[in-house]
Amino acid sequence: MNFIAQLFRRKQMQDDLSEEIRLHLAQRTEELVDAGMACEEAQATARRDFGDITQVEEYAREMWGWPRLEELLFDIRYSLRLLRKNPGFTTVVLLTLAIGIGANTAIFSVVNAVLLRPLPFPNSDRLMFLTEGNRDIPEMYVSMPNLRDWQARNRVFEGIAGARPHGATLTGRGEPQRLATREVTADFFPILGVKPIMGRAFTADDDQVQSRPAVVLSETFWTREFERDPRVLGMQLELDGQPYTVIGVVPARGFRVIWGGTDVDAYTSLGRLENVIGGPEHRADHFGIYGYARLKPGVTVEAARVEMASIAARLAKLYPNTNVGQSIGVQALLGERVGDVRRPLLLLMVAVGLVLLIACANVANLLTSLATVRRREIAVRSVLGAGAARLARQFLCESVLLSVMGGALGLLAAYCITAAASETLARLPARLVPRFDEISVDPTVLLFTLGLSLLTGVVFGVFPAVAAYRADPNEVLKENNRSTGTGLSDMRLRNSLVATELALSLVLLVVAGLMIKSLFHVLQTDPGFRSEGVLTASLNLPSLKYKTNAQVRSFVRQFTEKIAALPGVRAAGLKQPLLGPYEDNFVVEGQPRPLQGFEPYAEISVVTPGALEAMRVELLYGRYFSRTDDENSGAVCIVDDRLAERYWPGKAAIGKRISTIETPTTPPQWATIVGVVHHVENDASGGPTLPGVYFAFAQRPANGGSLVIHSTVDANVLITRVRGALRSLDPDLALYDVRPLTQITGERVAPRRVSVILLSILAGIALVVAALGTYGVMAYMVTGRTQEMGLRRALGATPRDVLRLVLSQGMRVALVGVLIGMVASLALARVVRPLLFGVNASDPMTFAGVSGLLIAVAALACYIPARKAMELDPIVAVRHE
Amino acid sequence: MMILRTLKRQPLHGYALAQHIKQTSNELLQIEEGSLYPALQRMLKSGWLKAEWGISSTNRRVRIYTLTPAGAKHLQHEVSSFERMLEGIKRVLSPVKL
Repeated sequence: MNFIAQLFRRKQMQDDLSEEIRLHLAQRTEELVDAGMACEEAQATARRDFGDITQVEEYAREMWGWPRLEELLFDIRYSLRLLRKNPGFTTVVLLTLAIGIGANTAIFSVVNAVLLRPLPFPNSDRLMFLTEGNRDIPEMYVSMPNLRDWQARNRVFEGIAGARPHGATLTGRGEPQRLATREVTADFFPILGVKPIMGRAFTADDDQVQSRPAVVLSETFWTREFERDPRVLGMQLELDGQPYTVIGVVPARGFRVIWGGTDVDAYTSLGRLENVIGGPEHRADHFGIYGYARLKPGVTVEAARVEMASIAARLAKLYPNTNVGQSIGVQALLGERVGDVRRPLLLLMVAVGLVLLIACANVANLLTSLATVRRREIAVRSVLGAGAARLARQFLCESVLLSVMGGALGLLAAYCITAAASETLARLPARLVPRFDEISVDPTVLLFTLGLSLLTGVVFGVFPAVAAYRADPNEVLKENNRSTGTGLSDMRLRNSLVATELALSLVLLVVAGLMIKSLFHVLQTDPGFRSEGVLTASLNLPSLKYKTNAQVRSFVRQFTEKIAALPGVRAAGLKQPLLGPYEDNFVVEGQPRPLQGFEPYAEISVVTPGALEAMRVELLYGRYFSRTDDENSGAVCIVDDRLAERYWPGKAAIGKRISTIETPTTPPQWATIVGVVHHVENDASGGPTLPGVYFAFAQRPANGGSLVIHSTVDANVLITRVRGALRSLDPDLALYDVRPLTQITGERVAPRRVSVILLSILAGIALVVAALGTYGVMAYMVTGRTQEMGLRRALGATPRDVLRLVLSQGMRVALVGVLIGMVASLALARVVRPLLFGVNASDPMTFAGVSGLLIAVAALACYIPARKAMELDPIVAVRHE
Repeated sequence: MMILRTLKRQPLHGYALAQHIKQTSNELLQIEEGSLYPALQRMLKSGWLKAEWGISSTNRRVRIYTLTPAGAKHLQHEVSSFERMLEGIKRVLSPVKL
């Protein structure tokens, strides 16, 4: 509005002024004529007295207008014309930039969604995750009595809630179904700042031992099972055989991250279990509870850590039997949840950053070439009065225009990539990569891309701009028509750009090489079991119905025997847990007992006969469990070779006895080692793993576990038969998490595989772009020196000499690039080290191989133009131009 | 300042203004007539003057410049600060009283 008015006004003002000047001159002339001067002379005098009309008008125009803006518009128009005139150049540059900026945008949109975007809870930066810890296990569950003490003693949190994963079988609504539930203390939802959609969340009255059982549904389950029917409030749901009253529905948003990728169906009270898991006798027992707390406003994480450390020290004094050596971990909830992917993602971010830098160097090179071609044009413009700053601005305008256009293309590419990627990743279980379902191109990403594009334009535009700034127009205009740009300083600039490109791509190749090697090591590492042909499924026996160990034992025995008898089944059993983690302290008979709280840890699992056989965990000595290892026989166990070699190196472990520690005061419950098996890697992280101990299920029954069935039958047929067997024993039980073991083991390496694939693609792009850059510069040099080559040939140089000349020049640049890249890679290797597995960060094989590859590619890039130079006809070359 | 002062007395058109300044300064200020216009433009933009097309005493189409209240205020300010400056110069130059 104002803008248009001003535009109109401005035109009016200029016209008025011109008219006024005309009238002024007319009047003056008239006066002079009246005074007796000749008409023409009078006109001339009037003009002379007035001075420079154009200058006055110009002054007015600048005053009323926006000269800067007009110049910019002019620059843009000019740049566009130039780009249109060089379609080949424009296409190459735009594609290079689109790849560079697109890759950055894509990875950034992941980083943004996973690491940067806050959890969808109010003031979520104040949400903390609390754990217990000790020397051996830095993060572990919180025991209920400790949680209660933390709640009572701390002054830094608005509240500390406890929550633990649970599962319940819903019966009475058709087929029994397994629900993912969480047991939470009453303050859990208030601390997160989550308000129920309907009804209410838990209150303190729902969270006592004597409270009536109440359940809060999650929005997803409410939608799935009840089609969002509001009449669900007050309804009774039978969970594990006990009636629960539905008191409310809470939103699902944000909880998938908190629960590690699981879509939780319902919440029940944790406080109701106080008499089961709380109380002084359970101070050292860890029933899967973690603390979820909200910092008071203004309290820092550091302050909270100091406070909790002093609480831990006081508790250690009060309860020396259980709390000595126990620390309290305080970390940001989001940070903890995405901690595993932070490093790989940042590595990818660095990698795409390097690709963009290489692309920038390449484009800078192309622009410099173009600038050399345009030298005369620029010189002419500068002689005609364009200031150096004005010319530099023109160059920057061109480069920024290119980068913004490239950025727009890149954004489009990134949008397609993320859409395709999230579709692929959606098929992976969400727990593998947290928040991958949240990836999107949002305003932050748009802003990032815009900023990146502008920055990119400035970075690669600076080179030709500086070159133009420095060039002396006199010199350029005096030069004859021969193609220029092979000048020493110009060539040095190009060579250093190429060396940079090669160095950066070497860094990327080294990182990719190390990661590939790590992946191979991980894949080759023997996990200690075979997963082919093994089907797994989870089973839970509600304690309301299966009250006694005898009931559990008898059901599990019947069920596993029924399955083992199915056609095609080679071995079958129950294992709890399937693949960790369940760590416990243990003591070895006859060995000096370590200090309280410093006992060694082992991965414990209980198995029925057939489970280890189904997973084909190799038996080294002794025997597997048998039916006769039951409640009536002496306690037995199987240990792995790690534990055996640690305590009885070179000697037989069979017949020796170990015990887990129930409470510090209870005497050891010795179990005799009857077998030694191969160590099983419970995870594929490559970190240190604890030795394994297996107990007989019949001697230590658990209310559930994972079925492992090794068979030759198709999984779908098998699972139908297994379900049939289950129904015949107890129709109220549900099998859940039915998956082949290969899928579980595949998922263990999936994140590593994804990052290796991405890194390899990026390194490949970098290599191609750098090779193109090298080729471009060498080809350019050869063309520029055609005449010189011809002369050399004419003076007796052989084609081989010419080839050697070109190659040696190119290879010198390549070697410098490789050397710089090696140093940079060694520096970066420190960052990469934690992600590697079985490979040294300065692995000489990788470094040598990658350098060789890069030099070979550079040599090829030089060879093509060198051949062209070699094949030149000397006569034609000398006459060239 | 000179222009504003002249225009305060009476609205004038460009040519008359140029002549007026020439005469009142007794031809002391040998400025090009043209340089008057940029100054006028500047003051127009600052809002100290406004311009209207009209007819002069000699029946010509002219653009008459008039002082605006803002211009008057500015003149006031300028004059007073100029006088202060003159005062300062006078004091420095006047013989020291012993």
